[in-house]
Amino acid sequence: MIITSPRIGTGTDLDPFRPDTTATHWQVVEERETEFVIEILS
Amino acid sequence: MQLINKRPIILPSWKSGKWYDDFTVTGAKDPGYILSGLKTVTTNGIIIYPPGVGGCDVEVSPKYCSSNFIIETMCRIITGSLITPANFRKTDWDNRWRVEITSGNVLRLQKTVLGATTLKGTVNITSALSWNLVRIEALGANIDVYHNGVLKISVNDPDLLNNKRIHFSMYDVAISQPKGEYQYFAIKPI
Repeated sequence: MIITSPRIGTGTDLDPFRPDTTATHWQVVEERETEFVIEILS
Repeated sequence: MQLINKRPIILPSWKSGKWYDDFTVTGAKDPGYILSGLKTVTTNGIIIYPPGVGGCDVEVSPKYCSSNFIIETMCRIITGSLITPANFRKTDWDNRWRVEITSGNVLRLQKTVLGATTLKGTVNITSALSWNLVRIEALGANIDVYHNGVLKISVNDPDLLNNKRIHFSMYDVAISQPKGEYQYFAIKPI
């Protein structure tokens, strides 16, 4: 399943840019300015 | 030692905590070519310079082994097809994780158990030929793979809880010709 997830984080070491998701297995498909397109994996 | 064309060292985000530098190098495919001048230690942690013409295995001192750790490395492909930013295992070699960058500009995470490899994540990167900052965080049952500061792959795997040894491999770098290089290589238990 591919979903769009907001980008959170400040880009620092302690608070890196990342998708706002609670999924436990996923990968980034596309990185946009304010959001990520991620694929939820089983 | 080849200092990677005397390129300035770009220090990673080692601003806090202790990054360990007393790795024990074991299990090399060809002992003798890998060790001499391989390691340079800075006050910030470890800088390892594979000489650009070989690969090596690095096994972390048991006293630093932890289920929870961060690996950080800067690497790039020169002419080869594959470079391995990190390769870590559980209690035996038959259960391991590998992070790879391919010349097809893909970063991927794989798990191998008893010879069977499963792809756990694959993301596109801009250029395997440029320096790629790869950070792997293993915390509890989670493995997170960052590329250039952005979290790109996240996996939950309870098996990792029993991790007792961490083994890095710098394979896929041919002896006879330079195919890839690492600017630094570091670990921090967390």
